[in-house]
Amino acid sequence: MTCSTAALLAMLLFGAASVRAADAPETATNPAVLEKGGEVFEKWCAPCHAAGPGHAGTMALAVRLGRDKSVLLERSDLVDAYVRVIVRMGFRMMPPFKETEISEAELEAVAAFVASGGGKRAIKPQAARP
Amino acid sequence: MPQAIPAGFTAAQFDQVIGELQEVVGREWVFAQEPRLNAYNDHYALRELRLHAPSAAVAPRNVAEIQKVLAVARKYQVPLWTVSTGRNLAYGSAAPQKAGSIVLDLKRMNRILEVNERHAYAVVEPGVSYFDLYNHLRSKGSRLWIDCAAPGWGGVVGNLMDRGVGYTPYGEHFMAACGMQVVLADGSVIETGMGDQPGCTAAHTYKYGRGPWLDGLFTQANFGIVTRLGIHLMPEPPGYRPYLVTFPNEEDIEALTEIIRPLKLAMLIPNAAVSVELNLEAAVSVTKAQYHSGKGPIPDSARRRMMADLNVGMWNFYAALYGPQALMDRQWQILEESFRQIKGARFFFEKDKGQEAAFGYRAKLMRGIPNLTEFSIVNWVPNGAHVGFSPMAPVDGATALSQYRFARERAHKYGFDYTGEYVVGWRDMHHIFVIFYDRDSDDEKKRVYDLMNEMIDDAAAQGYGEYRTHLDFMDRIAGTYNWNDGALGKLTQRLKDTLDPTGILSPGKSGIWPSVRRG
Repeated sequence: MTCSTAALLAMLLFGAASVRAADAPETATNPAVLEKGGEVFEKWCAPCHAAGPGHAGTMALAVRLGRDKSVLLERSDLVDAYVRVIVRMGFRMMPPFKETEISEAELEAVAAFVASGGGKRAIKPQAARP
Repeated sequence: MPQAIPAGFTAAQFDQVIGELQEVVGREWVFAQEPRLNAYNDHYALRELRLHAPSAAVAPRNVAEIQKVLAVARKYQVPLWTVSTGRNLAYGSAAPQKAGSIVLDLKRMNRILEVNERHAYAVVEPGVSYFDLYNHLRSKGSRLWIDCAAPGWGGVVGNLMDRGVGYTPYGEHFMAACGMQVVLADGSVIETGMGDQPGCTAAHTYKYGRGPWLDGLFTQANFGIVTRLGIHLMPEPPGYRPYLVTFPNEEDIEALTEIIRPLKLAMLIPNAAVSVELNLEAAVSVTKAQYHSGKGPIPDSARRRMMADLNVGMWNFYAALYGPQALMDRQWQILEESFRQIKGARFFFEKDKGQEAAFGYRAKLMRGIPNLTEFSIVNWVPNGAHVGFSPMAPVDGATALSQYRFARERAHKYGFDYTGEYVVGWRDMHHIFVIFYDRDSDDEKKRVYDLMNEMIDDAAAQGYGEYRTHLDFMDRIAGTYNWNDGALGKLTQRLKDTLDPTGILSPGKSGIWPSVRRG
């Protein structure tokens, strides 16, 4: 983790930004947002983060966190704000993504899609962003 | 993240530049502050980020906006660094050679302007990725294939302009280029080849037009901005049969390469095939730590275990057959007979290994299905990053063995594994040695930097030149191309100063510096 990414994550997870998130109720994500998020995920995330062999991100997470946390959409511990930071800042081997690749609206949608396990769960909207 | 203001600018002056760029493309498409600028840095940087830090990025939507951006750049003499998708992570991604440059991000220019099924070509803008073109063709029911680099998010135009390679019979990407639209530094626009004749019907079927053929001038260069490209596509063949032949010994690369040469020249191996060394083959599906927990290169005993576990070879040759079944059957008889000359050769097909990560993604690439599986190799080391050392070789056995030993010995000297492959063209091989390191280890990055410099110098002394490189090594490699007191380099400098007198286009690309920014 680079220093800047670490600082942003620390701010996100332990700083004031997370307070609002803790107070927020869990809400089901708008279906249109989930649909858009699913499209973005399929285009930009799935080539590395889908289940099964041959996916670089899934392999990396299996090595570092174990197989039970290796497939993004099967995890229940990811919050949307965290996803947004990682996408914009990059993390370890994963490079950051530009706004010309994933717009702010698309980022919002894909973060909600991932945090909800592909729409399987309600999520608490998170305020922090990179 | 560092942000560099262009040399000679005050903050106020630079703000003025940014303001004018915002007027051209809109505020949302100028990225001048963190964190919006972060993704234009080199995520796998070997040295301090500030050395290649951009000052901003600007993303025009069309040629007219590019012309206006160029006018701003000329007015203030601020350098631009052009990228199409900026996704080649081994060579610097979207980061500029000269710190303080403004990245000219062409990703928004992502239209597929034409697909010609009858004559088998497409016309695309620079923001089109391999995934985009592939999905577009499939959605239209096209029977045309693309040829893609291993990372499917790469740009069709950007990779070709950097003279990258793929793995189908159209694997030499520049070979497939046919007709460019280019914006020059003064804002004028040209069409190359037949496209120079208004209304010409052969603009994307015949490359050369009349007179000098200029397209090559714009590859790996900084003489213009390619905004549209015609690219030949391969018609879907009636049959496709990928195969893998494994060889048990390191020295087998010599005999294998000798066998490959006449088969390539006779087009019995029609595609850009690969001879992959064990470590790189394994890295697609396992990590180094699974076989070696100590420091330094993975020992031979562990390599033997890995080879057995994965049921592969010390060298692994991937290629494919294309055509009617009867033709492929006959070709295969010749190929099998040829490879069997090497003791221990073993043969695998999709039915044997199609479900495995390595064979699976190679089989996709050799039929132009983009994917990102090869990115898995970065997991070879924890928190991995990579850079490529890429010398050219003729298809010659002694050279292949020599270059392999050359790279392996030096890699081991600096504490790294040899992780490489040969991509075999018609008469040439791109030797791609991908060096893996911990992206947060200053010690490892320093050793990689030193290793690269040593290899560049020693390779040149032995007659090996690199075809492409990372930002950090462009000048050094340019310096090894120096016949007749650097006559060719002097010519490219003269061209640069003539075509771009204010030195605004990608200064330092491939070691070509405008006179106003030299020294």
